Amino acid sequence: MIDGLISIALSGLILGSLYSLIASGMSLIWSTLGAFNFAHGALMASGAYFVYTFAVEPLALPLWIAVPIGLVLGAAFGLLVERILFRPFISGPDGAMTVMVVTLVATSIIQNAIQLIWGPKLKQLPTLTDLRVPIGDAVLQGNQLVAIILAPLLIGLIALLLARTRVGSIVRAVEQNRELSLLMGIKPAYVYAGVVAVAAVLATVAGVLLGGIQFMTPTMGADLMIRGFMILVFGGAASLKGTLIGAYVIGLIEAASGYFFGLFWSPVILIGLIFVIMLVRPEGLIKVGARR
Amino acid sequence: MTNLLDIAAVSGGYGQINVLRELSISVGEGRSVGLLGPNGHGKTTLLRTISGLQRASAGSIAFRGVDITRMSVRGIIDRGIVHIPQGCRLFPQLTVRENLVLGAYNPRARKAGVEDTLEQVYSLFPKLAQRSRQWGSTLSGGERQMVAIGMGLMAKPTLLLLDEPTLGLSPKVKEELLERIAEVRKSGVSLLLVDGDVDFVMSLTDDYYVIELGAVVRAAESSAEVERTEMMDLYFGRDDD
Repeated sequence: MIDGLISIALSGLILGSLYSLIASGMSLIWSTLGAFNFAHGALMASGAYFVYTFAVEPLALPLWIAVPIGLVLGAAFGLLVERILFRPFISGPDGAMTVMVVTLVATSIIQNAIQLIWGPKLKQLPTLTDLRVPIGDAVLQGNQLVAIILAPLLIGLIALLLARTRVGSIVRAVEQNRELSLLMGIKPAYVYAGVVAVAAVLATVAGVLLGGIQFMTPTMGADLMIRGFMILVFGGAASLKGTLIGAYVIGLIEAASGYFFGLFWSPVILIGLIFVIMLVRPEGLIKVGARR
Repeated sequence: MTNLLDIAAVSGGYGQINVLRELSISVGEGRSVGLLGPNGHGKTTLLRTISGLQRASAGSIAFRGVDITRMSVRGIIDRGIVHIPQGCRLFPQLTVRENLVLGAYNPRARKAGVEDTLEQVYSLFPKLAQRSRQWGSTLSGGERQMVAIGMGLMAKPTLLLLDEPTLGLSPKVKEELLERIAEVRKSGVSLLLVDGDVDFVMSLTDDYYVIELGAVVRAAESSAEVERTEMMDLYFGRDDD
């Protein structure tokens, strides 16, 4: 029984870490731009494939070179997505809804483009470390270990930047009142671009970690993005703290339900839980006025 | 001599709806001007058009002789025109200090020294110094207005566009605000002031315009008592009407 609980806890931590990277980017975009990015899973997949190009085929560079290049390309792709899919529509009538539809359509285009460029063959990234840590009967290894350490660190760093720096106060100002920030001389378009780029980097990190744990496919981000939406509902879409807690809670529930009832039932239990939360507390379990 | 602000035959509004109709006003160097008139007749729209939030469909706006009609909001701020809008005038989930520092976002204000200007704002509004770590959302209406004016001052304005600063404030707070804005005026900042309180506007300005249906129907000096009475009659209607 103890081994089972350890296994659930570790699986929950791994899942929660990966989910938090995806969900925090989605939360940043939602709270700043007021729109959901349905292309977020595709951003994650494209980031992983960028790294694959430099780390495996055709360039086969060392990971310490390939990953930073992939992150930069992921950010650049985020900037492109903001410029093409967000900026032309977000300030228009029904901007948030238009952006959601446009990003949903773009998901399909990006996934097909990945298939076209990298081909249909299954691919996998090398793990970021060969380290193995046995805990009870279970063993934490490679990217699982990195995910558990890196995800809260990255999200904590972003939360700190938002709360304590001038750039952070500018982002929060645009979140709270776009027009007033414009009257201060701030250019909201630049803030939007920066936020989408940061979210794309977080998605790329998730893609690199997942790509070293399981096979990569063009649709590899779809499931994580759905979990991301669940987490935003659970934790409150505008709260990084809520997102982080929500990610681990969802991860643990998924791991526990998979262990006790089988993987087949995990999504059913999660969706049931989200349904109840939406009925009882539609603003999310952790209510935050605005980001700090 | 070139005026500080020259607005010549400006038309504009929201989409197809023209709120401003060939409206012309000017603000002389070192002068302050009040805009009066019924609600919904274009005063706020005029301020939004001057600050670049909205585009004029016709006419021109010049600041110290330079055409700013098509200039970006940022470009207009950089020239020294700072707009404190009606309604939500601060960032509620930022501290008082963060709000004020953001007021000095433009390069000209940063060059002048953010901390020095902050000290000046705190000496003008000592309450803000006491509340510097509080969130904007926790302040009273009067304190929020002080923060809003403080943010405007942090931007080192030459011309401050103030939209309904006394809206919703008690008479006592209004009186305090009037004294503070009078001090701002003395420091050399010109005002273009929109407010529903006629006495408040008259006390703080040198000249005024009455705007009805997007056009100027009257212009005079604020100090003339006779003019003032007549203007109030025009504004609120005469007893024998």
